[in-house]
Amino acid sequence: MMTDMTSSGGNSASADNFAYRIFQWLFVFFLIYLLITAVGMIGSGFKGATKGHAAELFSFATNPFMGLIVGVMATAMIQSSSTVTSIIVGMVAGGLPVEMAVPMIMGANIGTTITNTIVSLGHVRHKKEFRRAFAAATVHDFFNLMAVAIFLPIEIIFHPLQKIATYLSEYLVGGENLSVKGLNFIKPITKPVITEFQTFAEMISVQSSHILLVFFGIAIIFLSIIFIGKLLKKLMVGRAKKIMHASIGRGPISGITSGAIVTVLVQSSSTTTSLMVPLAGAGVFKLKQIYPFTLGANIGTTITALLAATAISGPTAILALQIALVHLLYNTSAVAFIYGIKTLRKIPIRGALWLARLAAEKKLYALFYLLGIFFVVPGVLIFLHEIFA
Amino acid sequence: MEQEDFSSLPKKKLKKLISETQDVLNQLKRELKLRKEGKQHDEIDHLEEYFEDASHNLSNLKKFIQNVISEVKSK
Repeated sequence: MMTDMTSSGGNSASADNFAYRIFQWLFVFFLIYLLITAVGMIGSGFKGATKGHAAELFSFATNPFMGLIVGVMATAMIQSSSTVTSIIVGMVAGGLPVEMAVPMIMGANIGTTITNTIVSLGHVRHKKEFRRAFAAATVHDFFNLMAVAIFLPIEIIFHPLQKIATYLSEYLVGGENLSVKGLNFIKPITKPVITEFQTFAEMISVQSSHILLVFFGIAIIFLSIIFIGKLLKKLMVGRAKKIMHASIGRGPISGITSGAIVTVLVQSSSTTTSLMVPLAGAGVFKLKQIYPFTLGANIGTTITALLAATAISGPTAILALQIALVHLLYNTSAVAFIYGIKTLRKIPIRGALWLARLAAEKKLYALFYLLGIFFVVPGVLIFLHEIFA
Repeated sequence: MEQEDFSSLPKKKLKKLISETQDVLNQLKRELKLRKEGKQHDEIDHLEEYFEDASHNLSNLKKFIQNVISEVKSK
């Protein structure tokens, strides 16, 4: 009798649990729909607000270093590269030239590293633990800074990433007449919501309706990415565990792959890289093991921009896809190039260890580093640009 | 550890000893690797907690700034 009652109670609890999970998944799909719609809103609002003169509005970013700084600071402040890259995709669809958006995308990669650095600061009370955690966090910073130092000048001169992305996007969506056949099903499902928001924006102010639409889009992207992240963390933790268990003791390629897959599952590179910081702090994982996992996160995070690009239909869809592909190509080539060459591979590790030793001795150095690299240096460069340009 | 004198050992025995020592060394290394990996598997089993920790950015920053201030004051 007792057994029967327990089992029927257990069945009912598991049915409730199943129903709850289904509800959570439906909510995730709804949030992805909102994200895609919001990217469309930004595209439409940005196009309307700039009236085809987006390049002039962003004339300050014609200097690629300014674009880079905008990407770094925006991402460091929002602490989400997925949000920033999705906004950039929307702006490209709204008329921002791809060549201006490329440095911004690269900057987003640097800006996103602030999150795991902040997480490492939580280990400050134990010197050894802090040194290990800070090194695990800053190895990502060093890698991303190095990637920009190598790839940005090459991109400015020869545009290889943009050229390959153009070729691929034309191949994927048919580019000769810039008509996008494959992705046209998105427009009918997002258009009604965009129109509703457009009407609402016009009710507030007809003159600023396009700018308001951009702001609504940014706010919706920001919130939907936060909630998608929160839900996916719960829903995907089991799968993430399996992937991580499977990658233990299997070498760097497996580390990169599992980092990329876990990031795709939780839709946030900050979460994946932050996850590894306490594991490194406790001394359970070595920096050499954390490093490839972190690089995988760089690749996995590009899925969000690709998802955002599906929001755009019509002639600008190809441009949105181009910038999303630039993000993917940049991160995969940076990993292949820097991690592939032994001498280059070691530089981020040495840099991180050196900085972590300094920071463990004097915590003030860690604070200077954090403020300097993400805010003061970019801020001073913007100030100097404003004065001299 | 005391140094042993192997000079009287025949070459064949010496080779056998090296091979046996190598085997033991490999077994020890394997055991060490298994223990390290076991600890890593144990930590990954607590992934939910690490996910949770990863979202406490502001409290980490606050804790850190307090620590920096006290470090600066103490000097």
